[in-house]
Order: sequence, then structure tokens, then C-alpha cells
Amino acid sequence: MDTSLLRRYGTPTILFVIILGLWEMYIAIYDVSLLLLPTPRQVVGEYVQNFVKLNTFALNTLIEAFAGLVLATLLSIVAAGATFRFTKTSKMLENYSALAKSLPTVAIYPICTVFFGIGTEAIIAIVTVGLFPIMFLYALRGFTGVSEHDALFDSLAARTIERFIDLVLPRSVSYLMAGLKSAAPTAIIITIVAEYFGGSVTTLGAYIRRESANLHTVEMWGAIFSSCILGLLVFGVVVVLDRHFTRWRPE
Amino acid sequence: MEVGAQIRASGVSKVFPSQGGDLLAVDNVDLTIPAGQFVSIIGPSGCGKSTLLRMFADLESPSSGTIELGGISAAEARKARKYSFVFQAPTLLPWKSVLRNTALPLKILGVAKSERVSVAQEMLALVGLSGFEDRLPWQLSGGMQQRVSIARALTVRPPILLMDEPFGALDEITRDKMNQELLTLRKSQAQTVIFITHSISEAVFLSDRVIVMSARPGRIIADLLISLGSERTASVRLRPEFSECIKMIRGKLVDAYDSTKKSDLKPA
Repeated sequence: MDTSLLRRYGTPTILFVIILGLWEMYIAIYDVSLLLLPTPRQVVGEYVQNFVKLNTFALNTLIEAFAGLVLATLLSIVAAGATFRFTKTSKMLENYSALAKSLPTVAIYPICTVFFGIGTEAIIAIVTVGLFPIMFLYALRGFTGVSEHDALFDSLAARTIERFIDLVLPRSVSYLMAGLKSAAPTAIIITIVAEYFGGSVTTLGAYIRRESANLHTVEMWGAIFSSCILGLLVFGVVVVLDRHFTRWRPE
Repeated sequence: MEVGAQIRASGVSKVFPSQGGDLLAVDNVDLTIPAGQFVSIIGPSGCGKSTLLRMFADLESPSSGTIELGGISAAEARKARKYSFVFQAPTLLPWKSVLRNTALPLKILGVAKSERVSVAQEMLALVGLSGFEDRLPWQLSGGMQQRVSIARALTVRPPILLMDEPFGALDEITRDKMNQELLTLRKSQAQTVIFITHSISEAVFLSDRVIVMSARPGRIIADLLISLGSERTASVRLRPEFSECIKMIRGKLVDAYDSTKKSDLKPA
């Protein structure tokens, strides 16, 4: 095996195994109650035992997160595309987005439920609102980027639409993919937090809330483990998409 | 084949506003280039050669004076695609294949796909890059990338070719090869060419005429006709007239560099 690959994947794997080992040892040595913290083996066991149920909930969570992510991405591309040529407007929106990025989900939740009720639509709206500033900032950075190619398009007397399709949009892909890498795992987190407060009962967030309230700590950790897998899966998909859409970059 | 167009600059100056006061980059340049002539502009770094070229291309506006390409203003010439510009860097779009990069000007002109593919292939063959159509820019060497950018510039068969140190980043041998190729290409297209360079031998080898500019603010301090005939092969470099031309231009450039030093010594 290539030594660089071994270093890249081997080191984090070893670290992860060490952390799990320390976790197991801590519980064994201090005899920690199951109500407080289960062992990693118990968590994985719970996940395997309730595989179908947890993955059904995870799928529902994924659908809400995905819908919110797609909406936020599309809206941010439209908003950045409409404003990037107007420096003052785009700068103002950039500042607002930087501020909005720090808004916690608990603050967005009550506002969205006023407009969308407490169902799936509200969760999707919360994810959209939460992710829009992230994606907008990346999209705007991509659209307002300047390179030596701008002078080329000037010399070719390219129209705005040609410049947008052949230069601005492809040049922004790297930025949009970087935005997605940040936004996709965040989408899962926002969705689960929003589900924790309300929405459909067959989701990971709602399940975590129920099991936590009933002091079913192992079940709760099983759902958390499922959330982690979901987050990693989503991130992996974005990495694959990134490689596909930016395959023109030097290897 | 469209023969090159005349280029004329009258009293062209360029001032760049800056915090420390306005910077006069180009000062009162008068220049007429007849259709079909190959003119090189040479001068010290920062003397405003590229700025002058960018004004010819309407990529910069002159602060005063007028520029005409083929009897129309630089802005109208740009909109009418009367020229092609070859940049110092190849400026290839990294996400497009060599073929699609070459065909870009035709795409912007609204030429049908089949025609633009055929013209792009023809131009790539002209610069010796047949078989590289599907490669991405990063898969080519610097010299090959610059050849693609020249092929791209030629696809619209422009009457005027503006070249801003296109071979500046290449090694000596590749540069000589590219010079020879450029002359061969020009035989088939006969454009008016303005070529910016730092290399005296390149300027003499390629040009019908060499313009020497002073240090900033850039002024024309010498305008020399190169009488080496139209057939230029590597052996031209061995002729005494070639060395004479180089010696003469070098002398003018030394004067220009000396004036740079003197202007640098002036108190602010």
C-alpha cells in the first residue's frame, strides 16, 4: 500500500481506535452507570439490533436535510448570481450572511414554525434558512472572483450571459463544492436539532428526544451513532461530487 | 483571407490615479502601423508597453488621445472582434478541453458547433497540436499551452493580432521554436501584429519594425525598420545585419535604462 495513503487514513483510524479503547477502559475502571454512558460496544450493538428502525428514521432525516440543502444551494446561487455585479448590494448581503451564520437553530425554529407549522415543511425551512448564509458566502466568493480570464472575455467582447455560463459559473464550482462540504454535514446537524424540538415523530431528532426523556441512554446513543454515520455518508457523497465536478483540476 | 488593418495612436497618454499622486504610465504616444506590418515594442520593465497594448485592445482607456484600429475606435474594434489578444499567460480555461478552449471565441461569436470544431481542429493542426484536442490544459507543457492560446486567437482569423509577451515564460529553445512557428503562421494569415517583448533578438527576428520605449513615463524613443527580408529562418540570426540591428536596439535600450536610473535617483 502507498505510504502516503497509509499515513492519510491509517493515523486517524489508529487515533479513533485508541479513543474507543480509552472510552471502554474509563467505563470499566470507574464502573460508570449505563444511564450515564454506555460503552462503544453497547452503542454499536444497539445500532445493529435496531438497524432497520434507526435507518428508517435516518432516511426521513436525510430527506429533510437534503431538501433544505438543495433549496439553500439553489437560492444562494440565484441570490449571488443576481447581486454579484452590484458591489454595494452584494457587500451588504455578504455582511448580513456573515451575521446570520451565527444564528442558532433554536432562534430560527420558533420563527419558521409560525410560517410553516410544526411539520416536515418547518424543518426543511429551518435547514434552508440555516444553510443559506453559508452557501451564499461561498457562491458570492465564487462569482466575484477575478482572474486573468476576465481580460480574455473582455477582449472577446463576450456578453454577460456568455461570461456567466463559460467563466463565472465554472469558476465558482470549486467554491460551491467547498461550501457544500461545509454545509452538508451542517444540514444533518440542523435537521436533527430542529427535529429534537418538533416535527415528524419518525426522525432521528424526535427519536433522540424521546429516548433521552425516557432515560433510554443506550437507545439514545444508538441514534447518535446513526446520526454520525449519516453525517459521514453525506460528506462522502459531497467529496465524490466535488471530485466529479472539478475533475479538470490537476491530479 | 482578410489582410491586416491599420492601427493608429494619436497623442495617447495614460495616467493611473494612486495614493501617492497620479502616475503617468504612457506619455503622448503617436504611432501609425500600416496594415500587415509586424511591429515589436520593447522597453524597460514598467515602461508602459503592456498598458499601451491594452489600450489598443480597449482593455484600458487612454486618459487622453485617440486610438483607431482599421479606421474605427478601439472600443468599436473590440465589439466588432477586429483583433485577437494573446496574453503573457496562456489564460486557458482549466475546465475546458484543448479543443473547447480553442473554439471559445467562435462559441462567443455564435458559430455553429460543427463549424467551430472544424475550425478549432484546423488551427490546432496549424500550431502542431493535432491529437491533443481532448487533453485538459494542465496536461500540456507551458509551450503547448501557449500554442493553444495562439490557435485560439487565430480561430476568428482576426485582421489584427495583439501579443503581450506571449513567450516570456518559455525557455530559450522553445521560444526560438515558437518564434519560427509564429512567422510560419503569419505567412498564411497576414495580420497586423503588435508584439510586446523583452527580448531584443526575438523582436529583431520577428518584426518588420521595432519600437523602443523609454522608462516610465513610456515614450517612443526609437522607431527602427528591420530590413532582413520576409524569409526568416534560424540562419537569419547569424547574419551581420541581424547583429547590427541588435546592437542598435541594445544601445537605445541602455539609454532607456539609464534614464530609469536617473529618474529613480530624483528626490521625491
